[in-house]
Amino acid sequence: MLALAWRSAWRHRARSIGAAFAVGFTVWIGLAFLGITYAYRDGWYVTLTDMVGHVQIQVRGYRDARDFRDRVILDAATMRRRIEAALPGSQAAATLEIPALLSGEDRARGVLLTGLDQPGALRDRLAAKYLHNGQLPGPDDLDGIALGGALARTLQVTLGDAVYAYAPGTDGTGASAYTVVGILHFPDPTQDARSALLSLPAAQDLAAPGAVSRFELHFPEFRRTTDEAGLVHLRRRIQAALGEDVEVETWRETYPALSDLERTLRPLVMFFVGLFFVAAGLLVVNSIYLSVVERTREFGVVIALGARRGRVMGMVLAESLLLCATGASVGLVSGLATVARLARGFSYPGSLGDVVEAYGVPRVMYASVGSADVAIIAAFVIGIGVLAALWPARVASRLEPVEAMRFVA
Amino acid sequence: MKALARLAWRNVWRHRRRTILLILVVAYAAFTIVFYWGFIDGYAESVLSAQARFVGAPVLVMTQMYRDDPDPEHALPDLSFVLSLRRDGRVRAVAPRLEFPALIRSAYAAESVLARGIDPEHEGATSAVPARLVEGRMLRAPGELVLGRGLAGRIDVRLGERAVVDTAGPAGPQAAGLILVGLVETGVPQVDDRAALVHLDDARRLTGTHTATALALDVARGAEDAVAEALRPLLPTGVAAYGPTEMLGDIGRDLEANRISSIPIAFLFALVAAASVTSTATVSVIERTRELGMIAALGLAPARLARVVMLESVITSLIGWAVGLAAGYATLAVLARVNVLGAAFHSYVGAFEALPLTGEIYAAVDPIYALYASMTVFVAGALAALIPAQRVRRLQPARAMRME
Repeated sequence: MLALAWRSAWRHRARSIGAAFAVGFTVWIGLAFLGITYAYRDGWYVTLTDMVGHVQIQVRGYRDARDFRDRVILDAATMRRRIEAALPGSQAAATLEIPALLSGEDRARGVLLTGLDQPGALRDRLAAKYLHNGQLPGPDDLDGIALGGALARTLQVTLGDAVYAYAPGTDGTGASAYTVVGILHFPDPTQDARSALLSLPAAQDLAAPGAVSRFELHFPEFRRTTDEAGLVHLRRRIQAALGEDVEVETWRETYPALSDLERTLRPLVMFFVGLFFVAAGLLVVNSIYLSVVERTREFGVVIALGARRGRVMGMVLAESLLLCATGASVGLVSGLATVARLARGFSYPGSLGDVVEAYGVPRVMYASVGSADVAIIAAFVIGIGVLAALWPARVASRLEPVEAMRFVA
Repeated sequence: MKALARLAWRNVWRHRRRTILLILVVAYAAFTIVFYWGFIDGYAESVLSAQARFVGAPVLVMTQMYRDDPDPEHALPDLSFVLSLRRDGRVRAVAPRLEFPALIRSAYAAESVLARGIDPEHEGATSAVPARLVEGRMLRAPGELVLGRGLAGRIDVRLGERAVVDTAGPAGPQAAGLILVGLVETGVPQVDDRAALVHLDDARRLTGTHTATALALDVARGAEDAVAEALRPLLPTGVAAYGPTEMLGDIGRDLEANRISSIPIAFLFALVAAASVTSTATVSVIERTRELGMIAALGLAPARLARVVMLESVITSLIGWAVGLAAGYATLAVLARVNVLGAAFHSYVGAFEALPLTGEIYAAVDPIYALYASMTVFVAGALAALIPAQRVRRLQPARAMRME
């Protein structure tokens, strides 16, 4: 039956090649579209996890705590030792966030002071991405502060100027003077107007000696959301090792909205790819229908010789599936080749690269597709192969042998 | 010509199944293109509009100095031009605002906020925040305070209790005790965690400013940027009107980048859709080779026969095009009024905290989509009319009639 379908499909070469090409083209578009979307997603993922870590460790009940003291891990040094004992060689960043009032000569604004203690590589990436002018405060710098650009403008200060911080209701000195050593630029205007970075020791002196708001664990081997299969297990292991005083959360639990948004990407892309497949499927319908009409007499003979209707429908279906499969395999090979090329790294042309970079996507991105995506695309191909055959198959199976044999188009 | 048109018209309806298929294919192409752009633009517009109505206003009028350095010292010099704005047909409402940085204190905790002094009578027309009251009531008189629910929780102040607002501005350090009368919750973290609404009179007293830092204007959704641009010549020197694209900076740029990156997809789709329209029309001619041969044998010149076939394609494509556009715009019109897209997204995504969205996504309706769809259908229709007509012109009646 396959051989028969093969021969019928190629009887009209131009038409069949046209329909198969449309299917292949659609498969190619689908794979390339997915590959680029995933490149975007993974770029965004690296930026996000660089900022917040893959796993966060915070004090239990931190979400509902009102008092500043109830929102921090008080004995950070002990907790760090326990983390290192549980995960030798892990990269942990420590952060202390303090709501405070920051003033220049004349103006004062409410800010979120962030004390940072990061591994060197992350620190360099942070500087490369957001530092606009000057430098970040050094790891043990008790005097330097880096401000968001909008905040610096509002306070009317620039590099080398003094700013004063007040953090009432905390356990440290509660007030301190700093020198502006860096100006940052954050794409989000709210963040740009509220962010100020200190070294962790400086922040601890101001508000909470020895304490941190959270530890962020970074796992450089997780570069894609699809690498994360082991993350939940890892989280459980860390939670068990550190005890019940702290909450261990993956970034998905800490930022559920971002996680959900990430999960909508694939269905959204698949929806658009589906629209393409419907259009390509219509081409297949035409091709198959025409080939059925042209062979009306042939089908009449086949039925007269005793072929059952199911068998006739099967013949048409086989032809349609063969046509789609041929086109799809070409599309699959060229699509995977395109993705493989883009997987070596690509960037948006011209100023579009600047725009996406401002939005937390690296300039150079790496495409990828998973086997699940190829499976979904294959399901689309089989789906349109079957749907496109339905009507022509019905027409063929309903032929009356005598009339069909006498049929002329 | 008239006879040919009649012949074409009759042919169209004689092959009903074929015709309906072609109409559906053309309609699908037109519909999908209209829907695609309505969705892409609507999403961007919804983000902008939500941001505008919750965080700012559809259009904001302020001094250029204030835009660079938002501090009450750069407030509007006077409000005499408000009347002319109110009379402008494009402006549906005007509400003065006086925003100032402040520290808000309860008996237990303090938090720094950007307090907004409002005119309770007009604010509701330009901002969606007052409508999102979840407890108590809106401001009515000086001495009252409305807070975002998250903010009120963090400083632990309840309805009927007093909170102190501290600020330092042109009037020197000032403080006022205000009674909390209402709580708002919008789903936008910038509002829920930071909003502090006070009466315009209190704000003026605290800051020593007698005018306002901005005028919030209500204008039609989708027209914000254009109206802001058009109002500029009517404003005093040093004062300008800003639409959401300008006020949102990077968010606006990101949305524009999204739109640009959706153009190649639309183009590729148009290509595939055009191919399926052309193929359907071609098939309908091939299917009737014998019949056309018969007509040619009866004496209709090949050129005129080609014209009949072309007319058939044009008629069918036109019907499909009209059906597709009508269905596309009808769908968009519904989606622009009823929040179906937002609900669908919401059930899948759960929350919208990552974006300044409020669970409401409306489709955009723009006549330009009809042009995009028409271009595709036109190209496809032209090919669909020419290729089969070419075949017909080459038709040899004797051979065609013998063909299976």
